[in-house]
Amino acid sequence: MSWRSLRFALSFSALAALPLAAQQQRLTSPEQFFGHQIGADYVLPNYSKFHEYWIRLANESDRMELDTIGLTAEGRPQIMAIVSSPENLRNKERYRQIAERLARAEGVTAEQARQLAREGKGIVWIDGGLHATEVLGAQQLIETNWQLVSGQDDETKRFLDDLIIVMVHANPDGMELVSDWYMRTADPRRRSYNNIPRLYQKYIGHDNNRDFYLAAQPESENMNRVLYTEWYPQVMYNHHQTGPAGTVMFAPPFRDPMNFNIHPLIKTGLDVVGGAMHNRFVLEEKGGVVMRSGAGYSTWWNGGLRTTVYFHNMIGLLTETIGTPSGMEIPFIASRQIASADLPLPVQPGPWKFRSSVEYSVTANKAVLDVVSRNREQFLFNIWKMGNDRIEQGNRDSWTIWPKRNAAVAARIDAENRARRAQQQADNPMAFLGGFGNAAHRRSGAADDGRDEVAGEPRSPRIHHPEQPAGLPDGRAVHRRAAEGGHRRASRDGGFLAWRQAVPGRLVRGEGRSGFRRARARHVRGAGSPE
Amino acid sequence: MFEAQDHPNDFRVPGGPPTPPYDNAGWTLAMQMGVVYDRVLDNLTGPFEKIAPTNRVRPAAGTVASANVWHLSGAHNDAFIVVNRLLKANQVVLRKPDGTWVIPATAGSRPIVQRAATELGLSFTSGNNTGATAVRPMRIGLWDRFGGSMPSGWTRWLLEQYEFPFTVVYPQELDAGNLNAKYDALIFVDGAIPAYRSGPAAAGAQGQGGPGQQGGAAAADAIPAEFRGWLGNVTQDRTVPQLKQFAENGGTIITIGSSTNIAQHFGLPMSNHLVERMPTGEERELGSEKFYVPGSLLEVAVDSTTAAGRGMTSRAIVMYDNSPVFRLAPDAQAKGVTPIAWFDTPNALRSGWAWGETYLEGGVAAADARVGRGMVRLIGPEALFRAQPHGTFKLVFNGLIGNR
Repeated sequence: MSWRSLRFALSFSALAALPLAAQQQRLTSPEQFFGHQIGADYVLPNYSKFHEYWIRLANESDRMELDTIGLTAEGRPQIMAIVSSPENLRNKERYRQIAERLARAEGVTAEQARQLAREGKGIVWIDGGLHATEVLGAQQLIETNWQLVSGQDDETKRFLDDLIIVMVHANPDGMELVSDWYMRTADPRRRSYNNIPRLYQKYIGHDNNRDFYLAAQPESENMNRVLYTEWYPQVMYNHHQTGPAGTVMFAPPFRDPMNFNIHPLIKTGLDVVGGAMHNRFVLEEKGGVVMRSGAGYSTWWNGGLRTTVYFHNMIGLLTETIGTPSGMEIPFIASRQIASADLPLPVQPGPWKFRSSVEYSVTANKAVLDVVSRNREQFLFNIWKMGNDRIEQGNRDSWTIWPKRNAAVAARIDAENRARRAQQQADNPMAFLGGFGNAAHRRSGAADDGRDEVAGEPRSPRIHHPEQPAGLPDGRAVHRRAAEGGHRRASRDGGFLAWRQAVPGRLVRGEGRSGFRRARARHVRGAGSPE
Repeated sequence: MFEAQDHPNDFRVPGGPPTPPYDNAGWTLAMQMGVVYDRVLDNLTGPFEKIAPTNRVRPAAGTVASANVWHLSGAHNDAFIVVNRLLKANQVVLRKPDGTWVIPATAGSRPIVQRAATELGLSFTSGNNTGATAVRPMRIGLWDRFGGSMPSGWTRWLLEQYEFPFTVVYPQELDAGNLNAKYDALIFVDGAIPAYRSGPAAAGAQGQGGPGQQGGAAAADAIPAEFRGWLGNVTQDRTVPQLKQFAENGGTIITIGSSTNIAQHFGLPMSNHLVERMPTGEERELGSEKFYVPGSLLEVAVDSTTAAGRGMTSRAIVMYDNSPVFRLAPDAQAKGVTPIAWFDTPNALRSGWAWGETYLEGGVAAADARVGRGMVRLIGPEALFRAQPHGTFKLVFNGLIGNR
């Protein structure tokens, strides 16, 4: 059986249609189904119950469809709820296609992108349960879905009209293992999910969030398929635990280093969405949410669920939240008690209930839904813009500035300045004093090596291009190429290809090719490094 | 996938300790996988067809020569799948010193070879068995611990993918000894074997383990009986002597990352390369303000004529995560230590962040050491790192096929 036919066989539940009025009467609340509030003390429903509940809700509600995105390593169906207004769900294939066209960008003009953005719906991904002992993730998914499916308030209806929300259980096997381990102890107060005998993903446990650029495990592949070939969310949100001591939650934006290979609209998008999250927390008087320097999370590394998406021009969010059904205390940490740029509203130390963690998670989710709902067209247009920029950059001479090359240029300028000062001092000892006040990386004087006159601004091709040995430590000739006029032309005429044409034979036949070939040979040897 | 990462030098205070990246600093998959590639600057045309994003690319089918004896290149990791299938079917497989696999064509081997050509894209050429030695399957034990080690879990997954037969081994079984009766090779991934300690603390030295150690009997009682056999750690006083005996009796021990600690336990003629000499003549381990290489890709020289390096080329890119680097004692080779891979350049960084990378030069990244009738393989870098570095799998896999 092909996967596509299997998945619809597995998600048999979604199509049952009931009259609208009847449905609102018949929605089964979490309390009714599980026998307790989500986030109640000393209880953790397992994945079997979770799955069963979502089948029930999908049957009862016309705001929710259930899909199975694949099987897990242990063979369980991995499910995804698609939540939106009944009308949007009827047209969901159209909205999916719009999201796809904008995300892929290819062959879509700016004007078409604007039209598609006007017509389309914001696609937001929310997952839970990836790291199964971070039990809040899967629990908040149940509660958030419930509030979206059952809410009759204007805000919820606006979310459902503007957005299609895909809610994905990220690790079904792990939730089954951890919840069952927790619940196996009869005395609630002795329940614990410590000392679980094996990993909560069959092979790789916690490393299931290190697998998304390789996708060795089926759960990674399932989720990548939905993210990058099906729903193309503009914003995705990956829930984790736990928060930094003395706080409740870490939420974006992230600290440096930013990965300079990702589109700057990802960085600004994280600021916009992260800002909306923090703003809502303050409005709801929920304190203790830190950002940036508040934790070690960054956008540098890209094997995680929320970081791989940056390379698909999606805004990937991470929160890390405290809380356990066995209860805990927020400790007094002096530095977390004073409001600061990265902690706008501190939280009081003291006992902390798991239910509060669920409520914080719902606040964070709704903040994300709100900002995408209110700025729907912008988010849809931006993903096109990022994709289109990348396609354009790939079709012309375009290079990313790396720290190494940047530092090499700065070091060279420093060396030249030192030499110049020494010369000036030799010529006229008083001139040294005048020159000393210059900032470190400034230079002036004749552009004898092809650099721009602008102080400290090397011409882009010199440092952009991996074959451009601008002051690189391996000592490849710097002056010689410049003297041939190649760099000058390259920077003015639109890049490296122009430079190649301007110096015919240099890279292909002439004596001067050795530098280029040497670098190539290094690639071929397997190093792959453009250095 | 292809772009090298250039992680910025990240220090809060100049001269102070580095700020660690959240995970890796460099990971370029193509480099880890040993893919040979180049940057093409011109428009590239050719008989190409666009592949739909949902379409998984399969390797083109390989060819099977009409021959009595086949050669299969030792360069392919997937060759281990074929070899394991053949050995499982009791077929004869031989190997040449250059790594080439030799497979006599029989009614039993033919369907296995045919299927591998179709499914794995491997080609089987006409060959001979000159200079080839017959190989045999090994009985492989893979260390794990209560709670599950992630590096062990990744290795378990990889061994399954490459169809090696193996058993997961927990410390209690190792401590019970008589290991040669059950195993030919034992694998200890990062985190299995504790650091060597001299003096009174030695007995307490242990690798990562479960509640049975830290919490004592009370904690173990809370564990269901079926899992209690998984409790415990590799220890210097109970486990190491059994491992020593296993090696001396002819067993193979493969260690990766911190488990190369076994070199000190066994008193092998090597020391830490990442040290600086103090004015007093004393050697001190380099601090992170001088040497710091978090999860990055480094280039090493490889001796592909060694048993471990068969099928590899003379250069490899390794996943290095502040991994052990060895300095061989002057008499090391005389005592049966063979270097497999080493840092032969002061600029080994290919992707990521290597602060103080020049300290690596001259250090040995991997070595084999003879111990009695057996041997220990020491692999400092993460040769199986999260199943990504296909370029270095052979350092482990080559140790898991025995000579007949």
